[in-house]
Amino acid sequence: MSEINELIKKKLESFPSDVVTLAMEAIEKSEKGLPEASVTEYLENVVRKIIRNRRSEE
Amino acid sequence: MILDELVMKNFRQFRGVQRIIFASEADEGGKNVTIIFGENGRGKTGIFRAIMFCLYGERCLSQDEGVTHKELYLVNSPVLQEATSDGEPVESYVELHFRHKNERYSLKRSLQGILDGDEQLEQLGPVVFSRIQSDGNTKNYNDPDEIKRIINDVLDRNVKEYFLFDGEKIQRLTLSSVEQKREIAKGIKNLLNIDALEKAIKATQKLKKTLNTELGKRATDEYKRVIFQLNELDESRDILEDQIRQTEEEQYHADVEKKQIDKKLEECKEILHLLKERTGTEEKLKYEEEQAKNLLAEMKTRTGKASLMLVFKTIDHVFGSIDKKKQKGEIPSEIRKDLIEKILTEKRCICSREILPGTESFNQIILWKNKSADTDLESAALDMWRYLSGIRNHRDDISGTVETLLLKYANCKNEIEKLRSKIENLNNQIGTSERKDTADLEKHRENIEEKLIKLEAKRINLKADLDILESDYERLSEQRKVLEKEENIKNELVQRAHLAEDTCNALQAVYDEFTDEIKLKIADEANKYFVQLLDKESRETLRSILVKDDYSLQILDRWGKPFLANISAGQRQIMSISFIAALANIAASGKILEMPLFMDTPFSRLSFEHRKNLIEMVPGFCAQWILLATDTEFRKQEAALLRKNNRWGKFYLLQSDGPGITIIKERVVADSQYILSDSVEES
Repeated sequence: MSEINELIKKKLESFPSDVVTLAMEAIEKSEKGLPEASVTEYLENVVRKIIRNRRSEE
Repeated sequence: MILDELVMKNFRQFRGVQRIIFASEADEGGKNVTIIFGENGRGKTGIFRAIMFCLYGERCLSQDEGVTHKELYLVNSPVLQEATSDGEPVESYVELHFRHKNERYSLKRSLQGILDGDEQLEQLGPVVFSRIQSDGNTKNYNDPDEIKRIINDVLDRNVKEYFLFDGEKIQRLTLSSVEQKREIAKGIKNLLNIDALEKAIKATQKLKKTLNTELGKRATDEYKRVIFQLNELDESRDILEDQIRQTEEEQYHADVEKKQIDKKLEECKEILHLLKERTGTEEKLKYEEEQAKNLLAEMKTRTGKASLMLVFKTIDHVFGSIDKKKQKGEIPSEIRKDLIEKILTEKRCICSREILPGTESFNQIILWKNKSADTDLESAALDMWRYLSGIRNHRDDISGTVETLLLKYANCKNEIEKLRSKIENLNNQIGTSERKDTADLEKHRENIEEKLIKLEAKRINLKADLDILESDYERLSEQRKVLEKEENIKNELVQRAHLAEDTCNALQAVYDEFTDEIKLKIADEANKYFVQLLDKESRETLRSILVKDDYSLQILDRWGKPFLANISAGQRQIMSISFIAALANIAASGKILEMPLFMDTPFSRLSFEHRKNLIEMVPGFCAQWILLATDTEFRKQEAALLRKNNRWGKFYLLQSDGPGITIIKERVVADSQYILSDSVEES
């Protein structure tokens, strides 16, 4: 339910934006019923992307 | 999910193709109530079954306890009987059209029926599923697993019982067993997205571990050692958490088993006094049988002496005769025969005087000799006299003992008969529950109690180990940060590992906060509905609904005491509906959740005030209300209330069209005042 996700997102607001992005990706992929290993694999790519972006901005 | 249309062909009582179009908020005027009205046996539950069959392929409902798939026929039996002559199978299907999040769905599940002698055989056919997406494109699905997954996304199997339920059974939400409570918790977690949050935490934990392992391989010196130790702690944490989970699982199963034993013991309690009485009686019987056996053995040892009793008269007679002779002095005779013979042989008296033959003295002695008796005979007679005298002296003892033994034995046998008859009587009262061995059950329960104590101690120890591990982990993490700062380690992999760890911690923190809040929120929302739905009298008795840690429900009375076990079936139903409304409200973040509330036999256990409150309130808090009502619960009074709030959109009658056949007829809502009865008596 996206309404609940909004509530969770609101609770995550106090955390750094990269953490929020990764956390929300984790929740959204978990909701889709994918196996845990697939979610982890997907998140690995998201983390790589976030850090590369961060480093390129630095 | 909003139900639009149900089409059935030869399904249960519904012969041929029949359809129901459901009212929903999207219809003109926002009418969202559909009433499907029929007397018992007309097929109301058949409609509920059709929806469950179509969505989840379920043939049996929770109310079909003990009924197997084979026993339950879905294909209309009269149509099947008619088709037998042609030898053709009968086609049956259920088609459901519904909407969900701006997309339209069409699901058709079919089956074929055929008669084999007296047996009705049914075979499932293909499932046809299509989805008209918001952009207007239609997508068809054939893969049963994919269809199942999409349906589950629309309305999860674990949650369905909150929205599609049998009014009689809805109270199960509050009466549930430990296993059902778990299912309910699973359903709530799904509905409120808590399970996705749990899965996300696990996935980020795994990600963190993968990245730290990679980092450990590439690091050097002290930093490598710290990373290595952190990874080891991570491994140990997984093991400990697994052990805690296993222990909790064991505790759960032991607890379930204990509850089952308690239930059995509770059943035994009713016959416990009878069982105790039977055990006591059985012990008495055993004692009496032993007594009888001993008496019989004693009687056997006395058989010899007791046989004398048969000749007591003869003994008296013989004794009397001898005694009489003895009294007369005939026995023993005055002069012994052998002494006389000696005098005659020696021709000399005992006084030394000579006694010659032919003398008067000699002849006198000869006369004496002839008169005197045989010594052996006299001795034998005297012996007999003494013996018989002895017997006569013990006669009273013998007969007394035998009489006592016989009396005791008779009493014993009497008692045995009485006890046997009492046991038979007790067995009849105890009946089949006789097999329940309470002693064994109590012993088993003690063992489980002991196991539970040990498991709890194990769990506490494991938790303590986990706490120590967490503090070690924290210390090492600090050390790691210091080392990274000192040695200026900030490569990409380190940053990735940190992000994974921070995200994992953030999700865990949000999870803890969210689950605590959501339980309070569900309780708050449920209480709002509860107060509005309850009748005046119940409001005075009941204070509030409480959502416990395992998401099970409790109710507090006006003094704040747990009161769930004491509320009526109607109050339970209101409590469950309040809980469902609260869940729906929270899941939709205060808006109306796009879900139908489908209730079979909704009002049967409710008072009129409760019915009135439901009719006035429910159409306002759900997107669609579908009621399968019978004549005893839905009358002119209820219909008038429903018409008054202007939410009643569709009205269907289930009418008999011969044995085992029902036809669905749509009527205008206004007709309800002519169709429905005034009271239970009239219906």
